[in-house]
Amino acid sequence: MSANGRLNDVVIRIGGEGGEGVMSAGEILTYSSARSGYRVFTFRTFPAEIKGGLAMYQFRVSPHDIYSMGDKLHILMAFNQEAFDNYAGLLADDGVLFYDPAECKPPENFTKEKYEVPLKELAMSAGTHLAKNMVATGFLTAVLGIPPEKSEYQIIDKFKRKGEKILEQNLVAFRSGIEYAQRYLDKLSRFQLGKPEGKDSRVILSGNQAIGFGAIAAGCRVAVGYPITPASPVLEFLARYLPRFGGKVIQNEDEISALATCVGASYAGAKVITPTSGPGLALMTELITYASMAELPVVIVDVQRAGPSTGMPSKTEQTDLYHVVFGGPGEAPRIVVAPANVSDCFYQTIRAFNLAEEYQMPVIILSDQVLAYQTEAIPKPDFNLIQVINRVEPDYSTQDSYLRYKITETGIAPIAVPGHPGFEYIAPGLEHNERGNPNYTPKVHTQMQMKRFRKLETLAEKLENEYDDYYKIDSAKILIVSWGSTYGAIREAIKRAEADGIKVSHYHPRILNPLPKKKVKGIIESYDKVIVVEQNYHGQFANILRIFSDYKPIRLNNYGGIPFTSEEIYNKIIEVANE
Amino acid sequence: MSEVMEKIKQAKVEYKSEVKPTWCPGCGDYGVLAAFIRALGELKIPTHKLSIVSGIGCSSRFPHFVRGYNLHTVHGRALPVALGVKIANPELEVFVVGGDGDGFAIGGGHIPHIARRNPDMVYIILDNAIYGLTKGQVSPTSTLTMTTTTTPYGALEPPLNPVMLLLAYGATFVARGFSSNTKQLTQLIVEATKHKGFAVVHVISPCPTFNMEITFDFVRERVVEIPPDHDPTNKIKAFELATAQDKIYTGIFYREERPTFENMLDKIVSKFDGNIDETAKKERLAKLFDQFA
Repeated sequence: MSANGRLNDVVIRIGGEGGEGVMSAGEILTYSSARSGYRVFTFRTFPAEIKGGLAMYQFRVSPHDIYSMGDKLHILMAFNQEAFDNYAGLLADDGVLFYDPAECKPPENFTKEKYEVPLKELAMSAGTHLAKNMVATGFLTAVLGIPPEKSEYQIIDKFKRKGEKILEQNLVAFRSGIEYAQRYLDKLSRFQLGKPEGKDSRVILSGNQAIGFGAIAAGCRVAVGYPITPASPVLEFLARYLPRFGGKVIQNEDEISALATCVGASYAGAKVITPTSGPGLALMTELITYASMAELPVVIVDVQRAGPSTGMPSKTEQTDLYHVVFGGPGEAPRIVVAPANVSDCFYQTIRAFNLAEEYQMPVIILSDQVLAYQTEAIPKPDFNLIQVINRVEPDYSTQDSYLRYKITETGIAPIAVPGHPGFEYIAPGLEHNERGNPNYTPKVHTQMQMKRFRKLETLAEKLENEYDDYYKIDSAKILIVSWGSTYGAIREAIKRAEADGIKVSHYHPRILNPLPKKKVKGIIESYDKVIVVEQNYHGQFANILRIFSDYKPIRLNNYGGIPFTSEEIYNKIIEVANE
Repeated sequence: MSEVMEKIKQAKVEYKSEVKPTWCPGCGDYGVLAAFIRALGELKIPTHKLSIVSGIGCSSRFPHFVRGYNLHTVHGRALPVALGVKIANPELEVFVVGGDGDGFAIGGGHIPHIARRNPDMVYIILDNAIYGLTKGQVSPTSTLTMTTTTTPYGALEPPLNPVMLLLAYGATFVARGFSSNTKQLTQLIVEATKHKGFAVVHVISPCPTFNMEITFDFVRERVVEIPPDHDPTNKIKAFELATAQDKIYTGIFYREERPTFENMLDKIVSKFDGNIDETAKKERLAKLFDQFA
C-alpha cells in the first residue's frame, strides 16, 4: 500500500448467473480503465451454457505494470448467493464484499467488510431488471475512481444498436450505481486508483485477438477453421478482418477439412492458419504429419482446454504438449511455439508464420483458455520492428531438373509455387526421392528422415544463442522452468521472493520444439533446485527436458481447470528454499 | 498416322510423368488415365497450370502419373485440399481423382460441402466397387450380399448411388462414364472441365483382380448412353435416369450455372478493397489497431 493509503493494485471479481451480464460489466470496466491509462489484466470463466450456471469475470487494475490476474480478491461483487458461496473464500483479509441483498445473504460468520448494493432494486427503478449489471458497473466505476465518462462511452457503444430506450435505461442504471456508491466512498478510499504511469500508445486485446492480429501482420492469406471453444474467436476475428488484407476465410465442415484446405492453399503459395482446440487438433493429426512429410508451411493454433475428451471446454489446461510434439503416425518433425502473454500472442504468431515459411513444416502455437480471453493493454506494436519471412523459391530461370526435396546441409530446399513452367512437382505423403517420386528403399527413407529432422536441428542450433527467454539471477540456487500462460504469475512470485531475499532464475522458452540441447542442459544444470511449473498431470515439459539432462525436477502441477496464482508459486519457492 | 493419333501421341509426351502406373494389368484405371490425358491435350491446359489432387487408394496414385503441380494427400481428404489450392490460386485447373472408398466411405462427409460451395474444379471418381489397394474388402458401392475378405458371409449394406447423391448434394455438373469407352469419357472430362463450377464425372472402372461381380462384361451388358433428347437442366429427369434398374446410363445427367466459391470469396475481398500493396496494408493494419486503442 502506498503512503496515501491507496492499494493501487486492485483485484476485482464479479460473479453471477450466466446471462446476467457479468461479462459485459467486466468488459466495460476493463476497457474504461485501460482507456484511462491504467494497466489491466483479466481472467474469466463462462458456464458452458449460453444462459444459466455460474459466470465470473475477474480483472486486476493498476496504475503500474502488472503481469498476472492477481491472487486474492480485493473486491467481490456477488450478484447472487452462488457467487458468494463459490468466491467469498478468495477474498483477502482486508477485502470487501458487495452484494445484492435481494439475491444474497452472507452468513453470520462472514466477518469481512461487506456492503449492500441493491442491484435489482436500482435496476428496476431504471426501468428493467436486466440493467443490474450496469448498476454494478456504475458502483465499481465510482469505487475505483475511473472517470465515469469513459465507462459511459463504453455503455453507449454497447447499447446504441439496441435502441434509445434500452440505452437510456442502462445509462440511468449506471448513474444510479455511481450515486449509490457515494454513501460508502469514505470507507473505501483505499480502492481509488492513483494517476496512471506514462501514457504510451496502447491497444487493448485478448490473446485470441492478438493471434488474429499476428496472422494479419505476418501476411496470412487463407484461414480455415471449425467452431470450437475456446478457439472460435480467432476464426471470428479473421473472418471479419482478413478480407481487408486480401485474405479468404472459410468455416469448414470439420477440423480435418480445415487443415486439409490450409494444406492445399499453402501448396498453392498462400500463408495459412487454422485455429482449434484439443479435440480438433486430434482430428488434424494425420494431416499435420502429411504437411511435415510434404514439407508444406502451415500454422495451427491450439487454444488448449481441459480434457480429456470433451473435458471442460471453458476451463484451462496445458495438456496438449505431448500431442503436438510427438503425436501422429510415424515420426514427423514440427515446430511448437508457446506465447506467454497477450503481447507474445501477437509476436509469436508472426514468428510462427516465419518459422513455417523458413523451415517448411507445420508450426503449432500452443495457447490456452486463460490466454485466449485474457485482456491486456499492451504497447501498440511498431511495424518497423516486425520482420516477415517468405518461403524461398527456386530460381525459375534455371533449366536443371527441379529437385523439390533435394538433400541439403540445412535440410531446406527451395519450394516452387504452382504456375511456373518446368517446376511441376508432387507433394507426396508417400516416402519419396529428391524429386518427390515414391521410393521405399531403406537408404532413401533413412536419408529423407534425416533431411526432414535436419531442419529442426538447424533451428535448434540457432536457438542455442538466444537468451531472451532466460531471466538469469547471479548466485541464484533455484530455477523455475515453465511455458505458456503461467509466465506472469511466476514472474510476480519471483519478484516477491526477491523482496524476501530469495534469488530465483526463470527459464520460459517460447519455442518448445525443437529445444537447443547445450543451452537447456547448461541452464538446468547450473542450479541446485529446478522447479517445473505446469498445468497438467504428467509434468509433460519436465519429462521432455529429461531428454537433455538427467535432472530431478521438483514438479509444481495444477490440473483443476483454473490458472496458478502467483501466491501458489511463491509458496512453492519458499518451501523449496527452506528445504 | 492420322491427325487424331498424332494428337494423342503429343498429349502423352506432354502430360505423362516419369512415373509408370502401378495398377494391375487390365485395370480400368488405365482407360481413365488415357481419356484424361487426351482431354488435357484437347483442352490445351499447360502442365504448370494443372493441379491434380488425390487421397489414398489404387486410383489415388493417379497424380503421380501426370505432370502437374499435384498433391497425393491422405485418405479421404482430397476434396478439401483441392478447395485450398483453388481458393489460393483460382488460375489453376484443379482436378480431384480418387476411388469409391476414398470418396464415399472415409471422405463421404466432404462431398456435400464441396458441392454446396461449388468451386470450379473437376472430381473424377474411379468406381470399382471394391478396395483394391488393401486387397479386396467391401466398399460403399459393392453390391448387397457381395462376398469380400471382410464380408465372407455376404455384404449386409446395400450400395449407395453416387449419381443420386451428387444430384441431391447440389453438384452443378454430374456425368457418368465407363473406363472402356475412352472416346466418350474424354468428351465428358472435356465438358466437365469447361463447366464453371463443381463438376463430377463418375466413372465405372472395374477391378479385374478383386471384384468378381462388377466385371467388364457385367458393366458392358448394362451400359446405355443417356438418350440425346435428355434435358440436362431437368433435375427430376436426371434422378430418374440415375435410379434406372438394370441399366447404367452414361453421359451428362445434369448441369446448372451457379456462382463459384472462389469468385464469391474474391468479391468479399474486393468489397473491402483488400488487394492493396504491402505498404498500404501496413497503414491499414495500424488503423485497425487504433480501433482497439
